[in-house]
Amino acid sequence: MIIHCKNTLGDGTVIYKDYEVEDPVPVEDEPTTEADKAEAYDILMGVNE
Amino acid sequence: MADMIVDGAKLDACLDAEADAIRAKTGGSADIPFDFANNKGFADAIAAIPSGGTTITDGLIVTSRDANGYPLTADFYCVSGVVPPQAFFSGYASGSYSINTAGYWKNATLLTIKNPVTVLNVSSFTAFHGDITGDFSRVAQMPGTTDPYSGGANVFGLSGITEISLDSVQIITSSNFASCQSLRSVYAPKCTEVYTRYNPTVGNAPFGGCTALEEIQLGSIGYPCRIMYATPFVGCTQTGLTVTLFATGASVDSALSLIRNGATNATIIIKASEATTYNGTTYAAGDTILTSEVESTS
Repeated sequence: MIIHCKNTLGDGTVIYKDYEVEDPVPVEDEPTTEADKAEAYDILMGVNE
Repeated sequence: MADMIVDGAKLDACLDAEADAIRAKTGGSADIPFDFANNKGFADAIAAIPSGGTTITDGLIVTSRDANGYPLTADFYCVSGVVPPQAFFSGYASGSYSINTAGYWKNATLLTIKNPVTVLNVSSFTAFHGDITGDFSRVAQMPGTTDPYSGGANVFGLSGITEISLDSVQIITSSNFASCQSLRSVYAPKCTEVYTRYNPTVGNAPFGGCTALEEIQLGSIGYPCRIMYATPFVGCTQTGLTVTLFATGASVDSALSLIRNGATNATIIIKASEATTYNGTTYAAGDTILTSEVESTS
């Protein structure tokens, strides 16, 4: 996805710039595999791998 | 004066009831004398009942409950200022990344922390259903390491917190506020680094999935904030979000790019944390260096 931005500098200069960004990541659905569930649990518990 | 006829049995019953009520308050069991001679009755015993209760300095008071007895609102006292790990953790234990809808706090709407918090720990409030209010101005650092592959720690993730002022926090790490879908405002004026794991998700970016976020300030004059490794705002695609970052001229472009990678519709304002130069122009501390607004996407 390309985001076309208008960047206005503090001195009044306007620069139009494009940013290529990753597609938005959807809110995670319920994990299905055991591996995903384990990872989700670690995330929830704030465990550092 | 005419003689007064009194139902003695009834009078005894009334006096017993009063004495019982006094003993219930005091915890005593002895007979309580009725001072008839001095026209005082039980007045002395009543006056001796201590007023109020023990001042709570550490613990929890549930201040309201729903019809089924589950807490709706509660006051949390922690005179030490330390919120223990998982103190109000309300996530599933089975490995599902979602708020626990069967736990004790499942219907909670508000947790009020009555003492200034100085230390937060891993999962202190993870998945707590309701809003969380308190004085977090003395917290110096959010839990979690800064490792780009495995760093971070969930502290408020998936909770119902709506706003927070982290006046003293210097470093924010992955997962700290991941998926706080009610979070509207964050103020972290002394934050100098925000660490996000490589290839972040809404579940592990510092502010990943904070879809209600409206305003966030990172850094201030004298406190330039660096965005490290990846965007902290995965999934923050909402309009109406303003991200304000204080930085030096040298880090403007990288910070803007990283923020934009997640906050795809946000207004991004970068201000000078100190006297600095960008694109050939010198800016004083506090000046707006750049304002980025989205025109379109393709």
